This record gives sequence, structure tokens and C-alpha cells, in this order.
Amino acid sequence: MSIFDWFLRLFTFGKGIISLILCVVFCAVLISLKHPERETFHDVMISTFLYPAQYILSKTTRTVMIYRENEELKHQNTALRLENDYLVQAIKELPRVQEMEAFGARSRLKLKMAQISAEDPGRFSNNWVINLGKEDSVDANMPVITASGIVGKTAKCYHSHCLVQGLTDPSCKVSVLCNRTRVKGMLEAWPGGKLVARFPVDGDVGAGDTVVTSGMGGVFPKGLLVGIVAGEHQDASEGADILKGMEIKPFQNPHRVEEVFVLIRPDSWTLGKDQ
Amino acid sequence: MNFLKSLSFLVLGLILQQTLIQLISIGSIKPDLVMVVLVAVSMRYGSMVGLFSGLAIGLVQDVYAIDALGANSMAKCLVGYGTGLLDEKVIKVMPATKVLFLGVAFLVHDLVYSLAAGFHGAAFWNALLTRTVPSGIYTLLLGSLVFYFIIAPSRSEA
Repeated sequence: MSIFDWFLRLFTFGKGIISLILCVVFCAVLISLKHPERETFHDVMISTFLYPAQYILSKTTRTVMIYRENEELKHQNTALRLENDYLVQAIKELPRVQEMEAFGARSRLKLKMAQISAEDPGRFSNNWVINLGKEDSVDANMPVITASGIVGKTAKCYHSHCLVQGLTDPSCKVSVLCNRTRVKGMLEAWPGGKLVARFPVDGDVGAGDTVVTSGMGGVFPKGLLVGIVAGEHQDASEGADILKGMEIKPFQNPHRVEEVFVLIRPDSWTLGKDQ
Repeated sequence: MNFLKSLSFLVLGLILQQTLIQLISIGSIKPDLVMVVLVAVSMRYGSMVGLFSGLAIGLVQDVYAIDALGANSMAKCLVGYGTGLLDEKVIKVMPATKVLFLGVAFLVHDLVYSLAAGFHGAAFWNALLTRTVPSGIYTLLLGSLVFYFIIAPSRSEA
């Protein structure tokens, strides 16, 4: 029997009771160590065995913590960016709103300001959804204008929003008047967004003339700014021998509209209400 | 070989105790995963492996407690030896019995630790009521999950 076998038998004797006693004695010795000896034991154990393991462990924990912190910071960053975008929009919106409010006060018309909340994505029409509806006393066929001029009319009205038919919608027609010569005409849109006003062929209308609403259509009151005559429109449509087309450049660019006014129609003004 | 396996499980348990268990702790109350692993490996590999595994992992834990040097190693080697007597190779142990033994082992461990660390009087009872009892309940819950859903299914598959 080798000495190794002898020790093995000794340690496993009686279900390892000798080993248990040795271990307990060892632990008791550790417990009974004085403070300086304990510190020596700690120093040796920590610097030799535990520091490397602890270093790797703390690195792992730190990586997990950084990952979680990063996730949290991403959330915060997104929220702050959204808030910043909102504030930037508000700052840009402020001068426009101030200008429109000043216009509303000057014009003495009963105007209600609205925000465009959706826009027709089509290429041939220019319709919007605004955030005013029947609950705001807005109804169909009410003029929609900006401080620069008319942009369309309300087409369909719901409880809290309504559809606005823009001037560049081919089915939108407006009775207009040449401001200089008072010649009446009809404004319509060509597919593609071009605005053309048809005047009598002998009407004295030329480039540079201002066009305003005539008040004859029953929707727009007389005298609202529409646009300026840019030049003659060449087309071979029916009635070209009695009417001439003039291209109109609107005062309000329909692609740059963000806030609008709805001109609230007086109760006595019923023309066009059932159209 | 069994001792090395057992030690590997315990080191893994110690790492999880320092990382994952911190996430599920309720204030200062947290389950003792090292105890769960020690009880499991002692029952699996016997009292000798349990004794030396308990001593080794206890020494590692003692390094962090300068005033209670030897207390953890004594408590854990006694627990490892005691639970190892319930050797699975000799008798079949149900998961419920293991949970029961875990509870007893946890209590014995904390009693031995408190006495070895020199707690007495109010400090002893305070440690028993504010640390041992809540952490023991939490450890039993964790131990139940381990014994019923991790160890038992893997045995039946084997």
C-alpha cells in the first residue's frame, strides 16, 4: 500500500469523518487568527487567486450595466430629439401665426384659423384636411384663405375636421374679376396645377393685372385676392374663339401652405350651401 | 473529477450570484444560489465532495469578509458534508425532500456562520430575523425551481 492510498483511506474513513474534523479544525484556526495574520491571509488570497477572477467578473458586470445604460440613453435621446423637433416647429410656426392673426384682425372678417393636418398625396389635385369641423361652425363651401390670398374652399365637413378643395384641383372653379378693368372671368385648374382664368376674348386683361374674386359664385365674397396674370395661355380647347385663357400665378403658393383661415359664412349667405 | 465538476458548478453559481441574482434581489433580500448549488452537488456527488467543495467556496467567500474569516468555510463545509450524507447514488431523493433539506441546510449554515462570526445577543437574533428568514424563503423558492425544473427533467432525460 502506497502512502497516497494510505492517506486516501484515512480521509475517507467513516464516511470522511476524519476529513470533516480536519476541515473544521482548519476553519477554527482561521477563525482564531489575529487581525494582522488575517490581513496577510486576505492579501495573499486576493492578489493571487481572486483579483484576476474579480477583474473579469467586474468587466462582465460593467458591460451589462453599460448596455442597459445605453438602452436607457437611447430612449432619452429619442424623446429629447422629438421634443426638440417639436420646439423647432413651434418657433418656425410662430411668425406665420402672428402674421395670420394680424391679418384676421385687419380684415374684420369672421375668420377661424386652422392647421393642415393631412395633404392629398396625389400629383393632380391639391386637397387638404384641416383641423376644423362642424363643431367649430365650419360647413361645406366656405372660403379657405391665407394672409396672401385664397387657397380653396371646404368641400366636405365632418365633426372635427374637414376636407379642403384647393384651387389647383381641376374640379374647383372660382368666379374672378380683373381688378383693373373689372372684366369677369372663370378660374380653373389644369391638370398639373396650372391656374388658368378664362375671360371674354375682347376683355382688356393683360400680364401683371391682379385678379380678385368676383363674389358671383356664391362661395367666395367679392374682392379676395387670387393672383396675378402671368401671361396668355395657349390652348385649343372648345370656345377659344369667344374666350381667352390667361395664366394666373396665385399670390399664395399652394405648396407652401401650413396654416389657413376659414371664412365663416354669415347665416343669410345661403348661396352654394347645398352644392 | 467529481470534485472539479462540483467546484465548477459552484464557481458558476458564485458568478451568477454576483450578477444575475443582483437583478432579482428585493432590497437587501436575495436568494443564495451558492447554497442551492452546494446542496445539489453534495447530494449528487456525496459527502466528501460536498465537504471539500463547501470548504473551497467558503474560503473564497471568506476572503471578502475580513472580520469573519473562516466562518463561511466552516458553515459551508458542514452543510456540504451533512447534505452529502443524503447520497443520491445510494437512496432516491424526491425534489420535495431536496427542498426540505435545502431549508434545513440554509438554517444550519446561518446558525453556524452567526456563531463563528461572533454574533451574540441582539445581533444574533437580528441577523436571524432580518437576513436568514426572508433570504431563506427566497432561496427555497429559487431552489424549488432549480430542483423541479432544471435538475429533475435533466435526470429523467438522462
